[in-house]
Amino acid sequence: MATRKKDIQETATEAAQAARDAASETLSAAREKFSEVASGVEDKVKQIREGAGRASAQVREGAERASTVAREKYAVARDNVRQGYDRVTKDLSHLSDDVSEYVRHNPGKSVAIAAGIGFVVGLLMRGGRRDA
Amino acid sequence: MSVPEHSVAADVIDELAAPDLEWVRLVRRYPIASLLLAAVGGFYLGRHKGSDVVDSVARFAAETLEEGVNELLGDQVL
Repeated sequence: MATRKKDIQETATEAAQAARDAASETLSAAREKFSEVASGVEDKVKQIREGAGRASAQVREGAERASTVAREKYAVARDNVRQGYDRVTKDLSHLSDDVSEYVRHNPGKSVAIAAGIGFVVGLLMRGGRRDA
Repeated sequence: MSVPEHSVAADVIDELAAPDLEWVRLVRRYPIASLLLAAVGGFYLGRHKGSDVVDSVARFAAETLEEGVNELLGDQVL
């Protein structure tokens, strides 16, 4: 009787141990699985963060490049306009000097030509009006 | 100062301008302003008296041509 009781106790103890082991293994497996999933999620978050950082850096680089190009274009356009203005001013100055020189040498002819041009322009700009 | 200009235009302006007006000296001293003034004067004349001026010039040209032709052909044509 005592032997049977002892067998039952041992069996129960073994069963309990087996249950504990099974629970422990299951718990361990679940921990590992959770750890893997957490690690995967963490990797994904890390990748997304790196991707966002790269995209942000690219956008920043693109904006800086566009800003630099726009600044250079503006500088080139400003230089061109300034050169053109200087050239036109110089040309007008030369033209004015040439005209003045010609007028000083040919005052009558110059005045007659100017008056003639003004007369023709005035005649043409009368429109449809006719003197009676 | 420059050599005096001898041209038909200068002679005509001499005839039209007041005797005491030294227009050549003024034009040489203020060339651009003189041109502008002449152009404005011509414009005004053309705009307001253009037809009269054109008629007078055409009549003068026709009479001159008529005289020349009559002299040449001995009053036989016109």
